[in-house]
Amino acid sequence: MNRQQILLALTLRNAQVPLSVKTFDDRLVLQKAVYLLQAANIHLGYRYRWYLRGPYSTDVASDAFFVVGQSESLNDELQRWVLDDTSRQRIEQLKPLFTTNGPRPVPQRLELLASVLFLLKTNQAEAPDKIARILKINDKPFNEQDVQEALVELRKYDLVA
Amino acid sequence: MTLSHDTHRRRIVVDNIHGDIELSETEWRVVNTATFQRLRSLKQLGMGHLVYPNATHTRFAHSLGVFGIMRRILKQLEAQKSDLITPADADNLRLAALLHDIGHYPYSHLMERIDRVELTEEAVNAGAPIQAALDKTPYPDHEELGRHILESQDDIREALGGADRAKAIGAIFSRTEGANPQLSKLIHSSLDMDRLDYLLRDSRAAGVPYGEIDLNYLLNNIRISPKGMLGVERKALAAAEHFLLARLFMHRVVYYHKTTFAFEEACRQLLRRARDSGRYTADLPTDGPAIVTLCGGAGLSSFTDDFVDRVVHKAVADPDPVIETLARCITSRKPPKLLAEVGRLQKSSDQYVAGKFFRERCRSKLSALADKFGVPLGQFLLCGPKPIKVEERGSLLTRDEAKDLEPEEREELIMVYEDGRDEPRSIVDIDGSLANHLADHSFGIQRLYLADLSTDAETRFPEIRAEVRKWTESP
Repeated sequence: MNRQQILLALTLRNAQVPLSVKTFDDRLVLQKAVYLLQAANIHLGYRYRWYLRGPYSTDVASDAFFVVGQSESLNDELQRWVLDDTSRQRIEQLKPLFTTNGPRPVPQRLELLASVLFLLKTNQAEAPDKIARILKINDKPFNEQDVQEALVELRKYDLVA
Repeated sequence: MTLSHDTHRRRIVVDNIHGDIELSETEWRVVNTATFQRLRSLKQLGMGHLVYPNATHTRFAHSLGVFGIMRRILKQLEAQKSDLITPADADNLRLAALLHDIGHYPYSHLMERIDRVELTEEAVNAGAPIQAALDKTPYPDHEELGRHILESQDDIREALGGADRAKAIGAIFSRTEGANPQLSKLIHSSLDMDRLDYLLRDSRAAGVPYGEIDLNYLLNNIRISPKGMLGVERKALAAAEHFLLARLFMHRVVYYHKTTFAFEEACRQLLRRARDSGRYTADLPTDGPAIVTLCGGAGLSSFTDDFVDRVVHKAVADPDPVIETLARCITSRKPPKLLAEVGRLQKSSDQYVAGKFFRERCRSKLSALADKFGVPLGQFLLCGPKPIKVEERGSLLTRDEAKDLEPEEREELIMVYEDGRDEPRSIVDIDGSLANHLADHSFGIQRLYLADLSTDAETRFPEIRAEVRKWTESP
């Protein structure tokens, strides 16, 4: 495993995000969690683009499949590395996003949060109604109220001003 | 669909790969901006010309080539009377193709990736904290930087007709467009225009046959589905497979050539060390925002291959012996020498992943070896190019896993139309296709070089190599 893959695995482990690619929801959670962690200045070095289900990185997908494929030696490898204190603190702050149940299941919640944040960060929309319109074009089951709630949650975690 | 509503006047550029390429007045204005002309000073193949003397072609020619291919594809789709793409969309797609590399760094991908460079000290020093929360924001990739350039450089924004259009075109090539994701999909499929051009162009410039794909047959058999998926007809399956293999061979022979890679890795490590030393704050942007600021202003015109050359020449007099040695290797064209390499095409599920044990041994033994021969550890360059996949998305999956992908995860796979189907299937799903058999394969390489220009380099190199080669044996 290279340094970036080790960093990915360590970060997900610290964030308690399952390192699994078995189901589409597993992969979706992993994708969106990495996106949100990067937005919180955990620089894992992945580039995200917009797909049907929001921000998606082909490199995260490749690295996740690779790391999962190394499961036999993964624990030994990861035991040799530790995350620095600043990273661990930042991850700790975001952890409830990935581990706490809310009004909607974790995959859907992360899809909403990551999508709203991506549209904001790429300056495609600012107003909740405009964000909701773009989400509708992409057949997402989220309305303006959902976007408003997402913005509150993103603010709570200091992901938007 | 008509080809364009920007039909007032046309210009022709003659390209050595595609022949005549016709541009509209707007496209011509874009090409003639200082911002676009900068691409003439960025070599397409990074330091490839140090091995292949004619590989001095530029991002400028490649950008025109990608534009030319996009133009042909749009004509083809127009002939199919698809109503998925409006004339205005077609205009924007051509401009996005023309401008897709506008944010490229000097020496192509070399400088862009210095935040991901792994220094040998870091690779062998397992156990030390590994840092994720960096103090500095990493350099943005070239597509993101390109988006910033379109929005900040007056000449190109005006040539495009205003800020809104510049923003729309940037969103297409950087695939950040949320409101009309279909357009980006056209640019970023596995059979994308970027690869179709660079395989041919790089192959001919290097003088090797491996990238000679059957471009005409592929383009003549391209089709867009009612859902906006671009694919090729089943009869072009062999041409699509040839395209995938051409990519694999071009990586093995040209892009990862051991000497080119040695120069580029030496330069990448030099740039990262120089930037992080704090002695080059006037020469190298310290972080991502500094790059964006540089490229948003007058500094963009000098952000060319010369930009890196100047840093390398300055580094020849650096007090750090590692930086100084790496710089002299490049300026005197004395590449770091390959001590050992492990590389093979293999299944992702194989227990013996290429280079895994070699890398482990390097980690555990390199410090002692460096001490024994009195060579600074940083002059050993331990590096592994990104694994080359037969199919971009499929190679790290088993065949069963590849079949389980959701539609959005398949978007970058090559799509093939089978008889009687409106929507294409991924090439990985076509029984009997090469991609079906090789979907879970990739070609991985691990290399260890030594940059050594000392007076006793010639005598100690064979001894060091003999020791390192023992590390390549399977347990």
